[in-house]
Amino acid sequence: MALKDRSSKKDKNEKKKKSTRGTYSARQIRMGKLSALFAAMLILLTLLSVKLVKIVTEYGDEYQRIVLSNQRYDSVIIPFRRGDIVDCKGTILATSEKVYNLIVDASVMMTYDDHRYLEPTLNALSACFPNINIQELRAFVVNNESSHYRILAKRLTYGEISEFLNMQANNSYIRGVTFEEEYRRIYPMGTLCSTILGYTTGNTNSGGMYGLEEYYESVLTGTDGREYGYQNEDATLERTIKPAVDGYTIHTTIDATIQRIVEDKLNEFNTTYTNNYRAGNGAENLGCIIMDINSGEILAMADFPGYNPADYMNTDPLIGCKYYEAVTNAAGYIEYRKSQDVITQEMLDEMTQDQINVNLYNLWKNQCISYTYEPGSTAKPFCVAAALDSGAITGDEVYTCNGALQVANYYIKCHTYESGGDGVVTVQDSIAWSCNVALMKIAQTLGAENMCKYQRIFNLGLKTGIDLAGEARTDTLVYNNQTMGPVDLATNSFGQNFNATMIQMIAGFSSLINGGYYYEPHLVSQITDSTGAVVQTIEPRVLRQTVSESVSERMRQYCRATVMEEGGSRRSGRNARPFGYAIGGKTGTAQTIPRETGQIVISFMGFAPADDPQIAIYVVIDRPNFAKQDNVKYACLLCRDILQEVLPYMGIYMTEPLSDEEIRYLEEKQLENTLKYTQGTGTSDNGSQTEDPYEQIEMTQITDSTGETANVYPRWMSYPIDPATGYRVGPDGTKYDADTGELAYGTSTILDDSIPVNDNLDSDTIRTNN
Amino acid sequence: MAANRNTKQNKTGEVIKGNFKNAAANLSDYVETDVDMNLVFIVLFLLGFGLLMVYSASSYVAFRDFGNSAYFFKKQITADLLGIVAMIVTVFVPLKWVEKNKSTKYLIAALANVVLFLVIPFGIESHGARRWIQIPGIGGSLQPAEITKLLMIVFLAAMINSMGNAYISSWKGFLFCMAMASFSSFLLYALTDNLSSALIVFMIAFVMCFVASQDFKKYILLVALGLAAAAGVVAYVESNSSATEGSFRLTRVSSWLHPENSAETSAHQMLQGLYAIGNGGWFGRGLGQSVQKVSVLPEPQNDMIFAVICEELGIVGAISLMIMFILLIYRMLLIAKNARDRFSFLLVSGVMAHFAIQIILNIAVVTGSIPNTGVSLPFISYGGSSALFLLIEVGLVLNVDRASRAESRER
Repeated sequence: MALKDRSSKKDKNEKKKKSTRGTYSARQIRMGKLSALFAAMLILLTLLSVKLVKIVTEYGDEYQRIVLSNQRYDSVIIPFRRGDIVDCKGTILATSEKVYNLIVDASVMMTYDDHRYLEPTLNALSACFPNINIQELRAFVVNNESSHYRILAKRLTYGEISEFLNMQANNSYIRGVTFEEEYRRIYPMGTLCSTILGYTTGNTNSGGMYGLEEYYESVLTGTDGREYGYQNEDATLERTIKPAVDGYTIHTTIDATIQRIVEDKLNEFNTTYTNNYRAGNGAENLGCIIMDINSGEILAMADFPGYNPADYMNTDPLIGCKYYEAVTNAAGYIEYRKSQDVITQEMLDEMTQDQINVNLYNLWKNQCISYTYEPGSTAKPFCVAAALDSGAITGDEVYTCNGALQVANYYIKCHTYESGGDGVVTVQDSIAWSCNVALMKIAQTLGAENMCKYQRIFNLGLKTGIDLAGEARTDTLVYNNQTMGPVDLATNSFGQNFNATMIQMIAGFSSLINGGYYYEPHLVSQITDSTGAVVQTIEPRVLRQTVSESVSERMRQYCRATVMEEGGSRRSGRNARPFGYAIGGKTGTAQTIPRETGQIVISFMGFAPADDPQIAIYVVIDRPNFAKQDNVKYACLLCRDILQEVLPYMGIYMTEPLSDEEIRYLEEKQLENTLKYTQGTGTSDNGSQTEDPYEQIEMTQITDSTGETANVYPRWMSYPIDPATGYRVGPDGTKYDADTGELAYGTSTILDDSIPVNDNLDSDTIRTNN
Repeated sequence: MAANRNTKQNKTGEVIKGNFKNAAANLSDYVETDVDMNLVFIVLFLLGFGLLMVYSASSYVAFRDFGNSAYFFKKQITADLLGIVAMIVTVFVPLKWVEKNKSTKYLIAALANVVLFLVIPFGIESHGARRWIQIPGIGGSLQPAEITKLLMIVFLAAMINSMGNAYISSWKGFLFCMAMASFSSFLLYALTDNLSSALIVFMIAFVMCFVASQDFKKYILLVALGLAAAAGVVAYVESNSSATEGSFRLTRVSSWLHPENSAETSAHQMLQGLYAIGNGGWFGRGLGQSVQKVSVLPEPQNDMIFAVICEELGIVGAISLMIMFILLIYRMLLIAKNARDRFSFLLVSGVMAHFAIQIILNIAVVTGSIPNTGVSLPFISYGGSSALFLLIEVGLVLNVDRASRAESRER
């Protein structure tokens, strides 16, 4: 080669030394040595290649397995968003907000020997999160260099972490802090609708308890997404994101405005009468349902006390309630029994968590669907409608009430027993005046078999199927063909001796009024997905025809007479009429068990407007905080106050003339007067005819019952007050309300303890064995 | 003129003939460059491949620690470009003055040692050792050990060249050169705590002496002694496990012998490297698909990058890379062969030795054949200083090549 040539010519010095070193020149020796080294390198690299092949062939499978098992398949859960609950106008009642958990990765902070990330990160943390104990955190990070995951703070809002995120973006030395996403349930309206909504447990976006949150749990919850690594068929790690499927939004039929009015009025009632007669709340239970009478849609449903679903363990709402205690009954089951003690802050402080929980269970319940009670006279329209619909009576019958009726061995009284009875009573009067004797006679005509049959038709004893969790079972709380004796038939006719829930009563009552269509009461009208697309529309569902249209028409007439003038002065629901409106309805004054204690549930169930029923309303005041609980006027007034605001809001205009006093009242309370839209003037030309419910002294009542003229100063005012009962007692023994002169419906005069009742009726005991 | 050009082409053609019949060779022929374009292309290929693997190996760690997956890649490409410029400059630096002036080589030796002292005032501590110096104004850092290696190669080439064949072949000359190298090695170890660089300098000197001298016997004897000493250390560690405590070098030997006993500590890196090789199999997981580089293998872009290559490209890819290295050395061997004088030859030999030693040591560590020493893989491992000075060394080799070609053209 030319190169060889070149080199040989180059170094003449070395060429001369060739002879001393044998046949090779020094240059050749050098080159040879270098080539030998190159060969050695080739051999070494070959050996290393052999070693590589050996590693793969001998240990490849094992090492591969180790690598795969070392692999952390740290699939990250991407939480779904729980669906919203909105009212009929789209107002958000419950929603979910993204929150962040602060995670510290100590190993990242301790990267590098100089720990360059540690102090900048800790400084930023201490600047942005004053609640974090930095000294403790520093100790943790330094002592746990291998820790990757420690939750430092939970459920921070974006506002709380945004400052830190900014600092992190601007300083690359802030490291080792990550934020994990989560959702938090929030209830923007606070305690509003709490009894309908229920709550979600703990810190997850599932686990709905009570109300809609529980009933629609599967609809509201979605599916968690995941970001995860997996091995494909080549055993290669791949990362995949499966996005979360958010929960559906439920659109309720609730109108937050109506709900607000109702809850405000209940609260107002409670505030007014708290500690009025005895210690504690204004009533042991307050409930109100407003329902679309022609569809079964619930517009408002409230009980008192409510609670804040976002802070459901708060015990403040319990103060003033009756204390429930856990008792082991004769059968060995634990029962929760209402005691006579009223919960105070001192009691709460001493209560164990178990005892608190027992009482909270009661608080969280929706009393409108869970609480059963004897409905009292609000059941009378059901009995009359049954009698009319079955043909047992024609509606033209006339009954005589002497104040009591003997049934079997018992002498069952009317509330007018003290004043000698209602006298001649038509079918309409039997409802308008709420005459027990007439009703018992109608029931006897109807017969036990038909009575039971119609109770089932009205869904008494059955669940209504409302879409809320926790509806009470009432099947053991009513009689059937076999068990109903003549006394039971008699007492059932006026709503005693069987239990019902509020939702059963109002759903059945709506069917009596709307032409006989029993709508399944419901709260949810539509379900949409997270993009707003409709998933399901829930149409009103007619379960059955309860009574015929003609019977329904009569019921509208009778119930109207209970409230409006045509019912005469003895009409029981006169106080329930909102000014300017005509409504119909029925009062209830029900005794509780035990009878002799004078504990009463007063209620009013009505519909409005009277001529074109659109809504049904039911107000129940369980054991009001009065000396004399049997004054149904308070239920009527509560109903009136609610309707006075709800009806104008719903665009239902006044039809009835207003008296000057009523106009004054409306102006004073800044309530709407819609009469001008229907009659062109807001002034009544006939004010004298209109009864003024705020006129406490009702002279007409006296004149009617005594036959004397109206100009006489009411006679009852001269009667002495009985210090034991607080009533004025007339010479014939009739009791009058000391202030208003209303006839006292002495409870002990209607039913006494000797009259047998269904053993299951004690509504103050919650049986755990159901 | 035309005839002259023809002969020139023929000569160049002869150089190429029998070596490579590839595009690079033809290009070298065509462009009429003055240097071995084969070598240039091999170096450029290795640099490019190195950048690719640095990016692949480091992107996860870079993103995790710096929020930028190209963090290491960017630093490496900057150093590479700087190194290519330095290499081109080096090609045209006249080397004659190094051998002509007697005192120059001692100046170089002094510089090689003095530069190490810079770590005392300007050093940056990392991983428990001060191996880098901050370059004021630029913000970059430099590993003075790399400068020392380069300067020691130049110094030894000049030193041995000045000795003459007989002297270097004697014990006296050999020991003098080895003493000079050992002094630098000692400083490397003492000042920068960098045993691997110290060993490399020592081994380069040994190889250069071996190549220059005329006899074999003492080298065979010394290699045998060295192997015996290594075996002695291994035996000592084997028999006396408690003795390894306190010395991390001995611990490394121990963990090399029994990696399963210390899986969580010093053997961790080696074991994870072996797992990576096993996981890669014959054809690898595919580029970018290494599992081990994700937080399990510490600093995958550094000394253990060969393990990532094995995992991603398999044995086939790893052996292909080794073949590229062999070609690199082979081109240097040819240039050494054609070197116009003894100094040039020794210079190229030193550079060859440097590359070969680092390649073999690195791969031997990754395959678990020797204890972990911390040697990087030339042009592939992440490291700016290493790339910069290795490219300058390639520049020296090309300088020699350019000179020999120029000389042969003159003839």
